[in-house]
Amino acid sequence: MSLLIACSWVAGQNQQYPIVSAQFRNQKLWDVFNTLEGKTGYRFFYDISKLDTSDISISFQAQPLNHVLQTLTNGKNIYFSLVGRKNVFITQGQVLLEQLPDWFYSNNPPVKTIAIEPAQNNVAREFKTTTQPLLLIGKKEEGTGSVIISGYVREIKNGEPIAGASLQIENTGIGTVTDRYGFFTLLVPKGKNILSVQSIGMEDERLDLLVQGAGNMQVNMQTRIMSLKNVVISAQKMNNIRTAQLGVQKLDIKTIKQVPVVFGEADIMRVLLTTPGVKTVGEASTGLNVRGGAADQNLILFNEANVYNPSHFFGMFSAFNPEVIKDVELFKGSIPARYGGRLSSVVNINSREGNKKKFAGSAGIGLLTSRLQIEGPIVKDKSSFILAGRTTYTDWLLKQLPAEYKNSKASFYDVNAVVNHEFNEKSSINFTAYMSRDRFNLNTDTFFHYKNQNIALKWKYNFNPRFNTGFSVGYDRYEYNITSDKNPINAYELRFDIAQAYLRNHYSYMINNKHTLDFGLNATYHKLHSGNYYPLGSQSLVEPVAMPAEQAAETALYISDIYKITQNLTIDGGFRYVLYSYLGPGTVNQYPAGVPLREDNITGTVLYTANKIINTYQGPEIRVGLRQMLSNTFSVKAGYNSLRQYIHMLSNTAAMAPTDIWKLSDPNIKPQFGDQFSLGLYKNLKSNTIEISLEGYYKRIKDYLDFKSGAVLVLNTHIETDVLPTKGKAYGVEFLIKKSTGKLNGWLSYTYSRILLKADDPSAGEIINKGNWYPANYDKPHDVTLIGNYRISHRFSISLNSTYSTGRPITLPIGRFYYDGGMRTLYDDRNAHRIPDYFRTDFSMNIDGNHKINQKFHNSWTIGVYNLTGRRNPYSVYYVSQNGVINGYKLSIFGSAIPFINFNIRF
Amino acid sequence: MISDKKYLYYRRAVLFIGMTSLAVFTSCRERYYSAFEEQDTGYLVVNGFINTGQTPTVIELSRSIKLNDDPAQKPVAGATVQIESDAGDRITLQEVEAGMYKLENGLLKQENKHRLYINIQGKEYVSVYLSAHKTPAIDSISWEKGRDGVQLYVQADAEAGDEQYFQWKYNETWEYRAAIPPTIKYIYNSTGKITGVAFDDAVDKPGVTCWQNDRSRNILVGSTEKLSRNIVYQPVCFIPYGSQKLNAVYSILLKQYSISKAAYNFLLQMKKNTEQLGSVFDPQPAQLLGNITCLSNPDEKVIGYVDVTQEKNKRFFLNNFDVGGWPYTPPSGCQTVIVRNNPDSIANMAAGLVPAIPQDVILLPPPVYVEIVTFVATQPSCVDCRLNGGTDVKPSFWP
Repeated sequence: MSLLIACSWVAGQNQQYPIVSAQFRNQKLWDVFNTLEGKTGYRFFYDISKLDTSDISISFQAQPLNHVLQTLTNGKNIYFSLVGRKNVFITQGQVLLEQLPDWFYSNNPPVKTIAIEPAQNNVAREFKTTTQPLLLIGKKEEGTGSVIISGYVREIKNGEPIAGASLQIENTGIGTVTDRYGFFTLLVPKGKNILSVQSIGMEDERLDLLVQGAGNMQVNMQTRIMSLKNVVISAQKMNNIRTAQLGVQKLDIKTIKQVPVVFGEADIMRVLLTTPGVKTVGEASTGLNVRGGAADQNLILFNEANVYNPSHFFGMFSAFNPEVIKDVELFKGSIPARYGGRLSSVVNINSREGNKKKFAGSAGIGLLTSRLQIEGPIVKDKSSFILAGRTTYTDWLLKQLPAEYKNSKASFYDVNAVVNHEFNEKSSINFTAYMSRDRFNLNTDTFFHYKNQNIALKWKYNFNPRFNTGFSVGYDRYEYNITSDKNPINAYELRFDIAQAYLRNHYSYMINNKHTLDFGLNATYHKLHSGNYYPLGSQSLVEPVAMPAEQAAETALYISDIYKITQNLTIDGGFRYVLYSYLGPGTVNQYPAGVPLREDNITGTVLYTANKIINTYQGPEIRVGLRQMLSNTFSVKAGYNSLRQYIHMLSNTAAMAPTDIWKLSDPNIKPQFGDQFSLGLYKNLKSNTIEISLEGYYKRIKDYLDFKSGAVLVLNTHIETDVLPTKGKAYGVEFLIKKSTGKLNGWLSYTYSRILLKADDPSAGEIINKGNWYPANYDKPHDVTLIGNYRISHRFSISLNSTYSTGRPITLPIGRFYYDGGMRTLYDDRNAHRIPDYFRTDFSMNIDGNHKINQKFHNSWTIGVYNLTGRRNPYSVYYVSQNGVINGYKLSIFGSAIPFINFNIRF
Repeated sequence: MISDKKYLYYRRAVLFIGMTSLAVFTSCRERYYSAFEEQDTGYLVVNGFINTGQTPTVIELSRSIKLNDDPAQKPVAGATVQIESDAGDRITLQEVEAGMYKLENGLLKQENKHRLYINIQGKEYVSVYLSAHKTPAIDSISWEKGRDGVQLYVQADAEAGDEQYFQWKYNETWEYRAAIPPTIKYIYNSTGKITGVAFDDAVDKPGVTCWQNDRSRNILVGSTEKLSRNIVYQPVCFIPYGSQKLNAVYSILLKQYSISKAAYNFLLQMKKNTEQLGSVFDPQPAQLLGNITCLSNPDEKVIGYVDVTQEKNKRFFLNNFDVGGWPYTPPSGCQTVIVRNNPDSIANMAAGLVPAIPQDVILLPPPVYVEIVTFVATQPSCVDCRLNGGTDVKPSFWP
């Protein structure tokens, strides 16, 4: 072993680094640092346990120190930072020390003088205080006070940003949560701080920071491979207590995948249904009824794209491929001001980002569907893609049917593409494309097809760590068609479509640690055809009917501020102003003022030319949330929200059917208006591992559309004569207790909720139930759901899901009479009765292959039983006249226990 | 049993998802009995229309009853039923049987508006004044044989008028024969005891050829509003394979009515309410709003839509051999027993049965030509068609 070393000084561009000439033979890295330290006068800071233990043989000829360090650290997953005067920080896994440009501080509170305590600077040379070495943040600045730190939290292996991670400076009230890009900004006091970072499914990170001045950093988190015994504070739980928002549920894909669902494929919509306040009319429907809202009152966004029909296969599968989903957020109480256009909720589904480091993929095979997903970098560490698809192969199943049903068909597919590209730290872009297609026929002569198409592009730009913007454009479309060719004279095709193009620009600006401002603009152009009916085949006498296209522009400006009044009191106040214009070309039926909208009251129609504004609706929307911390783990919140909806789904079937028609507000159909007061109590127990919440709400709805008796919805050029604006009121209480970690985890929720409607205006043309309040179709007062998972070993876990709810309302016959040769049923008041209560229990087992990280394939099995007790839950009850006799029947969708099996593979 | 094929289709096709290695149907439909106690509604039901055509006007009045009440019909007798015209005419209908009020044709003017007036023990009800619809004639009735039976269609050319909504009702009559037309009969001694069987030489034996009839039971409406030409082509009734109706000769008297759009919607809603519910995407039942109000209590519910129109009808015959025919046996089947022709054997073997045809015979010299040694006995319903619901009186219109 020999050593030669020489030293001199050289002038760099901004800094002078000592010139080093040295030769090392079979030496450990720390010996090299020791030597360099002795010769250059620089102090090296590192955690010896993190250093590469291999022997180094290298020589340098008159190289500046930074080049030497570059060579030494290259490829070892360690980084160096030259900080301040003669300090070298060696860190593992991340680059630390960057600083913000001076312009950034122009608005900052003045930075006070500071003397960094010598003792602080003289940190022990080898520090193993925590899991990470001490990080030096920022260029040394004068003064005490607080500075801005910002950065990203990412997954270490694939570089994917982690949204919703909670960051907290220990022993202070300072903390924040990352946004959906994993970005955070914190205002922290200078000096030594301990930053703890937590996110569900990730190893906790605890970083010692030495904050010298403003700067940015990156936190890399590792996916938790083995569950730790110690307590994990989940970011989301703390979030629940701390934000000023009420009625927000966030579920990540891991949680979603644990819940057993029919046919074994993870299903976002079905898991949302297990959370309090979210219901559906029946099993063959994924239409959500949130806090007494109708199925069309939910804004379902997939990476900003609006998915009009979120279900496949009569609603038995949701339209979202679980392999692409990262998480889903449901806003049912406080709806952020940036969202609007629907009355009851926003379901925000975020896709994952593709792996930026290497190619990977996964596949799953079930009995009815299979899916494939591949992802990987386009430019390593810069851009990535995910491509995923699902398809069905049910025709084999249908072939098993008796000959007369063999012609029945049902199938679907969907395709997702997500591309992310990071131009630089400030600028990144996301591209999402989605397409799904369903086809089925119920009997041999009528075929149904429908498809969703969505494309969205979003560009995100950070002006500086406190001020960023998102700019998105997109196009969403849904269409269906029905064909029938059995009767050649009447053979027809009926088409329908709805589309929107939008532009959204959102800004988020953190003024200081008291105010965070969000503002922006949404502009949407809606266009729909509510029916195009034309003959099929040469014999058909069907006269083509094309319902005129409808179009409208909806523009909204919004601003909201999260204002921390005191450490314990926060207000999240938002204001949104919406301008809606119904646009030509179009015809509008005219009615005299004050008379019922009936066909025989039409006095004429007015024709409007293209792009002429036919009429305009506008109004403000208020979104306010207030949070008071009563203790560190206990908070109380109150909120008020108002919303307007200009697009209506017209359906008089009980379920959300693919054939439902959409209608835009026009001079004869007013927009729906709803507002909600809510109040909530939030308490976390056992170091935030158990979360308890109790929320209550009262909601008022105006101009919700119900239907007149015998309404005709298809190809109706005067649809306003068949619908009935109603008043609505909804109220309820939701209780949730949730344990998200540990061997045993899951949640129990109870919801009491009512939704009542009233149509008592004689000038509307019809009074329902004598003008009294009556329950809406989806009014289910009591609902109890238990989701439980128990991990027996790391490779084997079991889940049990149990749910009970009151049967939904139904209009039942109360008598019969003889008319035109047959017995006819006489129906009671609308929704005066209920179908029997619903109860179901599902069970599933997840069996993972071995957990070696470095193997090529990871596989897992999901085996389970849906509706374990085999209860015949009624979907509907109805009465039919059969040969002059009236019989009641109960229809169950899943009338027995259904076993399922799914095989998943990850590569 | 569930006879309506459509529901089977729905049940099977919508809900076909089975999850074991074999296809197992998981959905199910079962009888449902409501737990709630129905109140006695007793709403007035007015069934009929004001007929300005060449057939009588018949109005039936009844009351709605509980779902499981017996008897099924509760007619309203003793009411005063009148037709009023906007020209001031007022004609009273005659009650021909309990709850059925009739007015012979030719008394109403096509150009006037008419309404129905009902007085039940001082309570007055009226329908809305309406002008008469002009019903186009039925051009033809055609049929098509499918795998499951024979479907009848109506064709009508309504191009001359502007009527777009139609209702059809029909009366079916069919001739059918006994499954085993008998050639022998029991002979009795003076005390009324069976002594044996002998040939029955009677002409026009009762119960060999029968006629049965039925009326349409389902609501049948159609519209041409979405067709480019005002031409009606509509399936009317369906005769399932094996039905008694095509055992020999079948006849339908099809009645066509042009109706108003409101009446069409009323009937369509009634049809949806009673005949078309139950599949996953079917609409929900809704209230029925007719055009009759109670003058003294406008809130009182009255069921019925009294339209003013004409009836156009057409009779159509179809022979068993026209459609390829099919065998018909009574639902119970025909059991045959071979019995020796002596009183003891008859008493032992043929209790409850009747003689049908001879089996073993001995030819003898005159005057007794044939002696029956054994004979075939069967159930009465196999030799007497009257026991299968019909009558052996030939209708006057039968060819």
